[in-house]
Amino acid sequence: MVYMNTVKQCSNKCLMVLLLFFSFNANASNQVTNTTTIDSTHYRVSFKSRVEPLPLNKIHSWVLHIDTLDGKPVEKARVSVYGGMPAHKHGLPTEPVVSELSRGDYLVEGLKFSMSGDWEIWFNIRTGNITDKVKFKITF
Amino acid sequence: MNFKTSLKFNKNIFYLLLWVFTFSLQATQVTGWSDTELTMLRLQSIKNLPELPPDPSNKYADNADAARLGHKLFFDKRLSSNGKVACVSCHQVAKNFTDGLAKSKGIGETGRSAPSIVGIAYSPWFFWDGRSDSLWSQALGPLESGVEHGGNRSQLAKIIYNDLSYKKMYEKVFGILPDLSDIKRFPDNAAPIGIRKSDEDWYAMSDEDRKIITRIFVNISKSIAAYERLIVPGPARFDNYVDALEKNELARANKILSVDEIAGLKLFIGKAMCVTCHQGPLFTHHGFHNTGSPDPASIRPKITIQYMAKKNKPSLDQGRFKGILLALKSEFNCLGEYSDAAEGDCSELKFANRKRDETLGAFKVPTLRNIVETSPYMHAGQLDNLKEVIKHYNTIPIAPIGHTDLLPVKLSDKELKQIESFLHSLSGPLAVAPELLRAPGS
Repeated sequence: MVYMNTVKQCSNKCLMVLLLFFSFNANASNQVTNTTTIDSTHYRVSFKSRVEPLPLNKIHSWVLHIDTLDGKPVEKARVSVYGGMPAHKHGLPTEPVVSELSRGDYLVEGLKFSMSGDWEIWFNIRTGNITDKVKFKITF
Repeated sequence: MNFKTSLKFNKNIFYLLLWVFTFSLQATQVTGWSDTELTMLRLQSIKNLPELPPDPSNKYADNADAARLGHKLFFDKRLSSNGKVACVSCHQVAKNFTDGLAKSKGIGETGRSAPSIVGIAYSPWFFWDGRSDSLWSQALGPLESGVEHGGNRSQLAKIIYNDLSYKKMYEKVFGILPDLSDIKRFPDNAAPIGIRKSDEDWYAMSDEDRKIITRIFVNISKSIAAYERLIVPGPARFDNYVDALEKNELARANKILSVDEIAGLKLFIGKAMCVTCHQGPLFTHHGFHNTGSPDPASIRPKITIQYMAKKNKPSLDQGRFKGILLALKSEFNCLGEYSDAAEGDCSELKFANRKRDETLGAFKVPTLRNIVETSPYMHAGQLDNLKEVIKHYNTIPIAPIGHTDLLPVKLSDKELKQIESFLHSLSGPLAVAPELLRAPGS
């Protein structure tokens, strides 16, 4: 019932939201997510492109930021990157390289998205005995 | 919430959805294309082709005098061991800069089909396996290949040195030619090309003299590259169709492409997923994929059945797996001493994918512009016509080497024919000055 009441109160607003949704959806093929923060078991990780808008089929760099779950930057982590397009059964067209900048920032150089579609970028993050994986989805 | 309120709300949603559906339907009915599809078509249109990307590894890439020299060299058969092979022998203008052969022939037979050079300057990699990372370093290869031009760098340097017209054109771009008249310092056929006499003569030369010859050889190729950069495609019927759609001139659009061609286009960017790799105004994303192309030997067998039974035999073309290793160790790559690029300009080479399981048996995705003029198809001309190519992509072939990225699209025979029809709409005249399409002075 709480859900239904909320629905009733917002029925007019919902019409507008739906209208906006459909307007947005018409150009969805060009929309990409270029900043995302996600929590893994041990880390809070954000991933941001250094180039906007995201370039299709051009090599560019991103910055990966790693915090502990209580917000402290993670330094001296060993980070490796891989990814690809699961639907097309292929990996990345390049071999990106990760290097540490400072205060939990890590530079990810050499990424390229060679075609439109759904991409996944995975990071293995290791500090001491803790190893964790995070996955980002990027859609062109 | 009572039943009435709930009903009223549901009605609102219903009318909204009806309006959205009707609006979308109207838009689609007007052009036959959804907004998303129209966006995709625009991205494929030649109007979306950007300016030529710069080539930092070749500071003469956009030098008009270098292109003039390159034009002359491209058509000159003296640049071969028997005086009968020029670049244009395998990149024939009338065949969209290909030669119509499964395996191209110069001095001897090569292992692959000559790819078109139309729009090639937009690619970051060259040759079917991407073993060169610049257009000029690509041009070096055939000149010294024993089955292509069969030439050598000393011979080529001396052609420039001894021909007054060439010498003048060369010096205008690259400065004064060194004196090559001393036959002891500069033998006529010295080069590191695996021929005993040439190799002996080459390694008998001083380091400095070898560099003098190699620099001239590189400048010859940089000139040829400057010419080849000018060979770009022009608008085809497909582009005129998209243009008409953009201007809402539907009647005109429907006169440009036939019903089957339009249906084929719809499949190309939709169900058939061709656009995944043949993406952008050149209909290629310039990447490498293992498409499970048949082993050339199984198409035109020259070897025994016993031998054919071996999986991943060394004679099979390893494609990009070997290509990237060759590019990385080439003295003529983006990071080498003959490149004009700064280290930061060499990202493609620096971050190139070398993983065996992703590169083995992979070849470069070719442009589809003017594709009907460039049979036979695939890297070694394994498939004779477009019908065979499309049929190949309709299945999941077992790759003769490595593994394929292909997914089955399961099109009907009618749909296969429609895609073939559409590909005919990608032919158009090149956007190149007519005098560049024939030998200079002819």
